[in-house]
Amino acid sequence: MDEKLHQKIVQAVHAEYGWKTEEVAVDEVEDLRRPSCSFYTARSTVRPLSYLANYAVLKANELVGIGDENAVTKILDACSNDGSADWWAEIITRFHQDVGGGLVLGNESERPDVVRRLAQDGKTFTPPTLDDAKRSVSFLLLDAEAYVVYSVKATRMSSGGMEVVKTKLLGNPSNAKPSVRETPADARKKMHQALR
Amino acid sequence: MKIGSNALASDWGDTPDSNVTQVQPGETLPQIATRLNVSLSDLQRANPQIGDPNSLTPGSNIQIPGQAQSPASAPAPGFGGNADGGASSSSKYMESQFESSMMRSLLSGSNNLSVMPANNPPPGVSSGGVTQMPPVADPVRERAEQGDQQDLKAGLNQVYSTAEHLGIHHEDIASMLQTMAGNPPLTQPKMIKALHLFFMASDMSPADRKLVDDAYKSSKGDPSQVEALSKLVADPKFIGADTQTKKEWLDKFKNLVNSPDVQNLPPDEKNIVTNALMSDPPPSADKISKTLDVIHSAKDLSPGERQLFMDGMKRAGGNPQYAANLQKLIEDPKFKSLKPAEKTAVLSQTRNYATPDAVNNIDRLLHRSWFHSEDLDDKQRSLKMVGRLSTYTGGDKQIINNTLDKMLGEHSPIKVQWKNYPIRDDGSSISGEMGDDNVLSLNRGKLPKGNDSVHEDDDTTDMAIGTPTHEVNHAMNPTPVGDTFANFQNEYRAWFVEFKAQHGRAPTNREAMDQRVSWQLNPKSAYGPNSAGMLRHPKEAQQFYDFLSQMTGMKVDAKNWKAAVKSDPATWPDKGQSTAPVPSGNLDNH
Repeated sequence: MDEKLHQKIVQAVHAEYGWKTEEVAVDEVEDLRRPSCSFYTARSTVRPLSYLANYAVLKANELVGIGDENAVTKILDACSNDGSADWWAEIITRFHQDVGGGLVLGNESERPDVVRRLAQDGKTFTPPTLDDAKRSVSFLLLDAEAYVVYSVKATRMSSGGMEVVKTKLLGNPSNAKPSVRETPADARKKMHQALR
Repeated sequence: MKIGSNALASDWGDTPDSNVTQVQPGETLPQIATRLNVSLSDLQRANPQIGDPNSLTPGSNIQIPGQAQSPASAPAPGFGGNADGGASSSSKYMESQFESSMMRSLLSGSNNLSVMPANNPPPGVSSGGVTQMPPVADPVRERAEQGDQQDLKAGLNQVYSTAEHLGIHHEDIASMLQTMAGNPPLTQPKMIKALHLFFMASDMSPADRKLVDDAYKSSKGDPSQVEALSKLVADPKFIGADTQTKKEWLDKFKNLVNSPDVQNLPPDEKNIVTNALMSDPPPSADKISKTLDVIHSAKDLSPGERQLFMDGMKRAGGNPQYAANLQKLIEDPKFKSLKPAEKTAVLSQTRNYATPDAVNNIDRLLHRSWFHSEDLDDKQRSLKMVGRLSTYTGGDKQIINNTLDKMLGEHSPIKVQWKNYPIRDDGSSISGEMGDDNVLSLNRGKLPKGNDSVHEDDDTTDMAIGTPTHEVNHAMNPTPVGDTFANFQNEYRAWFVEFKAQHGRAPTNREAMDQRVSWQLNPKSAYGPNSAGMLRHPKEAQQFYDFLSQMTGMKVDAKNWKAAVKSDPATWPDKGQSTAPVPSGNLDNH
């Protein structure tokens, strides 16, 4: 990465997240690279943060981050040709303000724990899927910090914008309430305790 | 008794109809079968309209098998607030049922009520107690009083059937009905409070129940007195006292509550004072004067502020420490210096979170300079976060209290600021961060402004409980970010402490692996690059392999660590159920 681009990204991170410029490391996400686009993550080298800042560099060196409401549209317009379903899912997750980040579940071996939980809940793992018209992508997303699984469907509207539907599929099992129905005697005891 | 199970079912989002449950977002029929503890085939048979069991419409009704509709399974009336002043979810549910079913029929018009024949009163009630009224000559008044009589009879019948549902002793039911019949009109609060009292007393000895019954008769069913009696009956000090002491306390209460000092008070003040009398027994005259002192200290508040103040006092159920803390707060120059909308924000949260700790912590918040530099919206966020943290009961209280001390302590270096992150979604994975100079930045999008309480769901619990405890733990364990096991453990430790704060227990090995360790190792996470760097250094990596070995029960090394991370905890020696490795360092945010 040339120094000019590095500095451009560092300045963008400073402006959007307030990180000090000397405390930013920038890495290219090579898996996402397209002929006319490249992608980068920025991370803090000194602060224990839970998130990465994502940026795309489009044709004519235009830098796009999640702070740009039209980031996804710009990226898809610039370089979605031949993009796989996985690629689309990553772009939506990293750059759409309504998705909020997370881990795209690309294959069953990536997070076998999630696949097991889906099966226990009577659900099936499905990898990211792009419809034939290449306007809509569906995928599973893990909010790994909260350990919650979402189903996401993102559709390019004829107006050019993106419609995103994000539905909670699996909650965090540690937060689950007991599923056993209590007997009336149990319920009465619990009520007594609650009222005391 | 169906009441409790219905109340508990409501926690699952069930509809008030006990025979149906509502589909939650993302839920499938097999999941619902598990939730209801019924077989999938039974559930399918009861719901033949469902085609695809994996594709259900959220909010649609699912018939629960084996539960035919019957009057006997109808929810019964509920009770008043709990000891903390706020109604429990079950009591709230039952109160709503009470209002919607029984009282609606009772109050909707006496002419349409089915009147119990005079020779068939509720068991234990003499017909004379209900029907023997002075003769009336005025035909209009006579018709009106006949209507009242019919209301009374219907109400008594409803109280009787409810009391039976609740398992209240028959002799207590009889006495309750006699008192109600002798002290018309029979109102909803009278019914609820009396049922509550006798339900609470139902585990007591016959001699103690007789005392309670006598006190109830003496109150003539007055709802605020009966509510106070319920509070006393539920108090551990009262429960542990001998019968003679109980009698003395009840007699003292009777004398004080019927004194002119109390009887001449406006209704809202009388209610608070009566409750205060029974809080932290024994009852004493100075509780009346102290409570009135607190109430009078609110004289300078605007009418709206005073209403919030009085609502908080009522919710706190006369708790003397709450009253003292609230008085201290409103007399605090820091409070007095606030703008009117800010005062409303403060008093809204002392009402929403009506406990002594919450008020004390909100008062401490007023003394933090960072709070005063916030705008009104962020002040509202800070207030409700402090209220929620102060009253959260599901987790490790020590960690939570220490975290509050770090945010609110007079000499604490930690400052809080609310910040916009460039993501709209309130489900964003960014909750907050501990930044330079001990500034705890929190995501505005995760906690809405306003004077309501924090909506209690997993996301807001994560935000209001998890994030502050996690980030404060980072401040308590300063560790350089880098390619080290210490850095790996620093993140794991903060998560471990957050987990304990939320759940009141340490995580299991399975929970630690699924919910944290896998993510910290993932190249796509913010921790991934440092974890990869750690694994490149043999000494650092070995500490990590030892950590994984402890977690999985396997002998983990450079060759098999990935397989260990992805292995099914069910295959581990402890099945993943043992306590996860306890990290070193500060684990309670002290």
